[in-house]
Amino acid sequence: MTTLDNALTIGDLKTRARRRVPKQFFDYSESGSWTEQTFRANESDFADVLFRQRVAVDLRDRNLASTMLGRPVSLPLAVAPAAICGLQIANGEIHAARAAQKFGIPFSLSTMSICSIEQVADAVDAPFWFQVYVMRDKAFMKQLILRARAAGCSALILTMDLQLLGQRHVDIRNGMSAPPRITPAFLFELMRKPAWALGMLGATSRTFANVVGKATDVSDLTSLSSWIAEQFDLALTWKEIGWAKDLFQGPVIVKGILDVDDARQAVAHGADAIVVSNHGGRQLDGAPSSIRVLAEIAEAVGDKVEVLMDGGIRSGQDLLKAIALGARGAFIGRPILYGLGAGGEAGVSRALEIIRRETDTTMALLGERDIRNVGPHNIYSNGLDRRRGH
Amino acid sequence: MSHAKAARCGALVLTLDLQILGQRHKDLRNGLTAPPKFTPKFVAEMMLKPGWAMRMLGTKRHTFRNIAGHVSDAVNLASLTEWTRTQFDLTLNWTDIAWIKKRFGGPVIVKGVLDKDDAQLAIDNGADAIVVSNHGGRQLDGAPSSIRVLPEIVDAVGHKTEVLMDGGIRSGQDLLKALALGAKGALVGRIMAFGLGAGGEAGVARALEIVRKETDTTMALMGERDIRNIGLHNIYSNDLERRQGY
Repeated sequence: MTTLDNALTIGDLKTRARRRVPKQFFDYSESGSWTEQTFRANESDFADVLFRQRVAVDLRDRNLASTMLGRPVSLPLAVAPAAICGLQIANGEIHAARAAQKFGIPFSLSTMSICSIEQVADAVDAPFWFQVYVMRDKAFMKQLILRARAAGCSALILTMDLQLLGQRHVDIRNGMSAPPRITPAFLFELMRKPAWALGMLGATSRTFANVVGKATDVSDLTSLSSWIAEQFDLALTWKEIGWAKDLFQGPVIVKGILDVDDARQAVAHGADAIVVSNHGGRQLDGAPSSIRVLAEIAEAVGDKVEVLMDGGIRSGQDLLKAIALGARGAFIGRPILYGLGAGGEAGVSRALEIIRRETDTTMALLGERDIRNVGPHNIYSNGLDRRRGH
Repeated sequence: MSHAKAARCGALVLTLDLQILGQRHKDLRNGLTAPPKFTPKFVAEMMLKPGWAMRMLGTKRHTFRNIAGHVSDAVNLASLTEWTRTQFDLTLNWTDIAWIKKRFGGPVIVKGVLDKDDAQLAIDNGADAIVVSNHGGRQLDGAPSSIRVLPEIVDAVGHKTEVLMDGGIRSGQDLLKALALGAKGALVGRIMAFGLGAGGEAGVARALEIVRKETDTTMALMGERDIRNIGLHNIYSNDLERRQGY
């Protein structure tokens, strides 16, 4: 039986989470769009990047600390703005934010979180990052940004790759909703996962607390679903970056970049950082993995903005590969959700500790003492082809 | 080193890729120790593997005999484990090789080289041979395989030193590929362990015989009569990319 204490890998936490979280919520995170080709490639492509080992290097006094967006981090890692953390376990966002604060890395809150901006801000001292979609209801989007600013959020993450939703079959098959509908299948799940159910009875929030009751005309679940479908803004352009930045008056991280030209556009329109991301393989099925496109994007704009990445990082080795290929730091989403499902704040702490230890030992085996010095010279070969058109 | 010298060891193999231990999940899950702890699970294993257990009864060698009893503060297992952990030298550097070579007074083989710059440094610092090795994949996860990096290291230093390799050799065909790509010879580790587990000395002899026969026949099928003539001309193609940075 996998417990938190004997979990040695992120995979162990995933196994434990699968056993404890109702199927529809575990599946919601553990899925990509349509054939899930990109979802799978995010993880598997890391295997095509090989490390260069150097030996006989003095390895005393190793350093994993760095900075992201000008602020110190204990490891160049941030918690990704994943939706519905609070349905992996009751108050999931607060659990993850607390673990990230203790560990010394940024926590990102999704607009589609269960606990609201204010609820998370009340629970932690450290400023966190807030993610926002570009929405058609500009009044509500403005309200969200101002709420994030009022809550002391230290960066705004603007998601550019969700003007419409990639279909994830499993959510449709499971009848996924938040809060869940009380069907016989869901009642059966609750009986199998009593700890989850008991926790939820005392939860601060069980639905999208940033939206319900706050956006015009959204008062319950039915109106929320249609609101979401209508809200993502098909007319989104690069100009929204400047608009959001003026409102927020802080650094804006532009998320969902997979192309060199788009990276340049984001920089030209004022992005302070970009996130190379395919939305965890949940949007464009058939897009390249994040690790594949990272190097060409880092080369194009890495001297102008911080290039971050997300997608497929499941170990310290993966994190080091991303940094060696030019990322300033990386986000992890699913490892955090596994940690939450496996054991709330303690589970997230365990996930972060696993990655920290792997990063430390692997960096030493590369023959490096300071993570800020990790770079292209630590790569033996990268079998992932770059963009070359057809 | 003095013990090795006194026992007239012909060469010293100096491991460079273990200043810090790569985590191996299986050992942690199995609770690996030497000597083993008598847990219920281990007792069950012994019942399933009585031949192993009977032979172990007949020997007093159950732990690291090169270390236990030879270092003042490593008398029992708990302190031995701690001793091992603290002894791997984080400060290891190339000048240590010259010092060790002087102390040993015989040839020193430097093991754990995966990079051609490191191969050159090993030679500059007195190595008599190098072993291209990633420690059987037990250290840097994500390092290239030994067979992949072998040719470029041979190109760089093969004319100055004997380049050996280990990692993944399971047949005479594999051995011949390593030789053709420039290795002067290869080391086999797991093959030996499989032979030992299968039948002690006879098992190892069988393993070696299998590799010998495969090597002989395969060499013949390549159209070669002498293993010393094996070389790049015996390779049709090599799909393993060389180091290209990124």
